[in-house]
Formats: sequence, structure tokens, C-alpha cells
Amino acid sequence: MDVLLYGSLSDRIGPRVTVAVPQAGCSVAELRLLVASQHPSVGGDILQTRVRAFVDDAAVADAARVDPAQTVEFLPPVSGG
Amino acid sequence: MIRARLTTDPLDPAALLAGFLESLGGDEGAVVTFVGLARAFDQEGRPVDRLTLDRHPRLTERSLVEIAQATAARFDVSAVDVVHRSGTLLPGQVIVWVAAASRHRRAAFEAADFLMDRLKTEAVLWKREDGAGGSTWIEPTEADHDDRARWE
Repeated sequence: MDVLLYGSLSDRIGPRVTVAVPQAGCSVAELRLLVASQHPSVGGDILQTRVRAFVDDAAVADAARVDPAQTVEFLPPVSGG
Repeated sequence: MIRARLTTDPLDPAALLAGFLESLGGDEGAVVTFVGLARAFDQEGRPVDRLTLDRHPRLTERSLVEIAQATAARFDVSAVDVVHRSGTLLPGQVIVWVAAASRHRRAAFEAADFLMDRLKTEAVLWKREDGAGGSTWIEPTEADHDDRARWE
């Protein structure tokens, strides 16, 4: 599965990583753990819900299911201005 | 005119104001603008070499447009403009330019204030300061969230 990252997360492991997920898919919460275990440099922030997950430009809850063909994006807290 | 956009080009407040004034319909009595600048020193007083604004290819511009539209819906303004930088900025360069126009000044002042409070906490951007203090990602402060909460 392709995972896209922004801000501090992108700084740590790059803007795009590949994550091995079960063929049947997994929850977003499980995906967070998979990213953390397969790319440990990402650190613990990826496990925090303040880092929001998006699929197809829409926010998704930790309980949502995602499959290997989808791309999931993780967005740290934002700040403009 | 309700407009919001993202650019990697340097912002020229004088030129933006001139364009904004030209776009008005003629019934306005007030224009308020705000210019946000990249600071030369971080919160600890250490020199900052540059500020980097990371953005999302679609969600960033969408968030700017939503904030501009929410401002126009909330206040009695005839025009709202938001121009936000992304990419790498040097200290003193303009990060954001906002403008609001109205028949009477209060609505324009409040609209510009509201715009900035929303942008600080909801614009889909990520800011990193690089300088003598190292590399630091900047998140909204408690004060930023308190400012945003004033409008609830």
C-alpha cells in the first residue's frame, strides 16, 4: 500500500512509503502500527489521532477499513498564516 | 469576489492591494488588509535562516477557499481575498496576504481577524523553521486555538 506523508512525518521517512498490509486490508489504526513497525524512523506521532488519516481527500476514522489498492495519507496538525 | 489561492511566488502586498481595489464593485466604504511575515527569530530568540511551508496538492487550496467562503458567509463583506505562500521563504518575506471589503469598517476588520484565526489553525499547511535553533515544525499554539475559539 502507498502511504503519503506531510510535514514532520515527511521529514522523517519521506513523502511516500510503501507499507505491506494484509491482502484483506486492515483498519486505519492497524495501518498506523504497520507504518511504525516497517518505518520506525517515523516515530510515535503516526500513532496519535492528532495525525489525521485521509483517503481520496476525505478524513477517515481509525476504525475505517482500507485495502492494499488504496492510498492513505497522514496529515500532522496544520498551521497556516 | 470571494477568492483564495496558494502560490510559490513572492507576494507583493502593494500590488495585491491595487488589484483588490480595482476588483471592487464601488459600493464599499472600507478595506482591511493583513500581511503575515516570516519572522527573523524563533520563539527562543535564535536567528531563523528560512521558513518552509509544506502543502497538500489539493487539500491546501481547498481549505483556503473554504475559509474565505466561511468568512464571506459570516460577515457583511462584499469581497474577500486570501493569498498564501508555500515553499521556502526568507525572514521578512510575506507568508500570507488577506483582504476584506465592506460598506462599513467593522465588518471588514472582523472578517480579516476571523480569516487569520481560521488560517492559523485550519489552513492545510505545515511550517518548518530552520536556523540557529535547528529544524522545528511549528504547530498552532494554545493562544492560536483560543483566538479561533473566540468565534464559536
